Amino acid sequence: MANFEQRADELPFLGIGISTEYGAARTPGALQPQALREAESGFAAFLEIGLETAKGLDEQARDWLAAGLPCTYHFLDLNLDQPEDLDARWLAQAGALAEQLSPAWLCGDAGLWHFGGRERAQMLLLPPVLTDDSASRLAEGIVRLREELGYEVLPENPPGVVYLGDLHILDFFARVCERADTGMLLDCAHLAIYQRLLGNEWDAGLADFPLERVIEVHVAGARECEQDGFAWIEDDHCLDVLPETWTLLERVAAGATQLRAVVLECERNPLDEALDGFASLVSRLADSPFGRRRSAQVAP
Amino acid sequence: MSSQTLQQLAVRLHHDPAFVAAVYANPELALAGEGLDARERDLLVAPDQRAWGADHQRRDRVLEALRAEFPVSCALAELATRGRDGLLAFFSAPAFHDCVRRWGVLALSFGEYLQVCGRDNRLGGRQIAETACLELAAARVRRSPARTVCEAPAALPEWLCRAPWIELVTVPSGSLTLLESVRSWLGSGGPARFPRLDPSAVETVLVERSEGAGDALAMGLLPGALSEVLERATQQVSADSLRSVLAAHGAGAVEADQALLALLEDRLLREAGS
Repeated sequence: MANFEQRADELPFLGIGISTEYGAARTPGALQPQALREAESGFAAFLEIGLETAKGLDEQARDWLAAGLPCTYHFLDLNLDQPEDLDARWLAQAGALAEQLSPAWLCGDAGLWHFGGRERAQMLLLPPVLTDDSASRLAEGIVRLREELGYEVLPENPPGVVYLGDLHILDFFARVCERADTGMLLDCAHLAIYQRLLGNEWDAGLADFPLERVIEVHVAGARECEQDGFAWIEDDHCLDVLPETWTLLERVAAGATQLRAVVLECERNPLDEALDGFASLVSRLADSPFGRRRSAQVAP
Repeated sequence: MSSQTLQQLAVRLHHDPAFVAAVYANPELALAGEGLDARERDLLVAPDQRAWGADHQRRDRVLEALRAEFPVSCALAELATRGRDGLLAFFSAPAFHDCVRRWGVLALSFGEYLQVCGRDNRLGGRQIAETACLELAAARVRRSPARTVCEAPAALPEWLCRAPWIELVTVPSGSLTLLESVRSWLGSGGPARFPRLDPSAVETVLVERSEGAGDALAMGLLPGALSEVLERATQQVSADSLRSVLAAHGAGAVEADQALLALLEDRLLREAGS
């Protein structure tokens, strides 16, 4: 099999896109992917479809696919570091969905989406345990899924309030990328939340991280919360983007030579507010290799 | 020790504030038997203790997901204890922790927990033990293999067994009526007056997947003879053995074969190995 660098060259450039998951667009006042595309096609060049195999596609995702527009498949129900989770049934269902979507690649938070089986009461999202053996297990899962379904599989750094393990999350994902010879989806909002939670500088660990592995980036707003005197940040996909998230985006985009896609996650926000968010995103990316390539593509 | 063990402990800590308090007060004692060394214990208590409870609605959300399968038992428990604390105590019970340790099915562990509480005269006592028994059987049927559609054989096969998509439950008389009354009350409201159980007699309830698509289930009382037949056919059994059960209830040879063929046609029995 070709190495990551060769495979990355074959990946399409998607530009700026939006994300959705089953039923998100039904929230009153929520962003409609097609409406955003009609308002400003360059802000919705592709749709990242969050999928649980048990739920499948909703109307908005079906409409998007029916129009023949580009997409990515973001899994919401796979524990990549558990070999038993890649069971024949899930693989068959995911394979069938991938056939319907023809996504540019698969991606998803590399965490614990469910404990035990895929049961309604057992769905959650916890970050991976940040240890060396956990990185190896995750890498094995990525390679297996890539081989089973025939698509690139980009692990995403998940959000969290508790991170266990002795590795910095960027060190952890650097090991995963190397061992699986894969690219990744770097969520700048999740990373900003992690750095703040641990009391780190916004760019801690970034200097040693292989940014050339970053194929996709996420940006989203977040909300500061407090419970019993404990302060943390909830990744609620609002449009109040943390200053550190913007700064991380600029830094990552400057060094991510293989960056193909950037998503502003704002699926439950109204269109007019989302448009402002996308305008900020475009201006922050303007001087990056990604921004220049995108400008060349969307220019008349 | 693997990262999986740490991940399981993280799940338990995210759901059980009592466990968090115990682990942070004395990690060595609270984590004895979990197979962690000193370094791993340190990793587990490194985060701010309050972080584990940051999502303070987590247990409520999970309880609501469990309630979807145990609406009657949860309602009876809340009526008996005037609140949900008794139900939320599940997350601090050994049943919850054991379930996570083996990556089990939480709904089944919850049903078993409710049964045990009822039998121990907690959360509403006997009534909840029996409704939980019925709702637990339904939960098992929901997770059983899909009901297959195949033509029933014209002649009685030599070896038979019970279909995997049914459950039989023997409970005190009046249990099914109680379940249906509470369900109906949940739908319509009004005064919470429910029929009593008759502990001097028992009834056998058949829980099965309904015909057709979806997760719909059916529950109904089974006559004694048929429940004995299906009980005996839990494992592969000869047709002669089942004929003898029916004969003991007064059925003639032709009548017994017709009854067994009817069970095959209803897909409650099937040919062993099919």
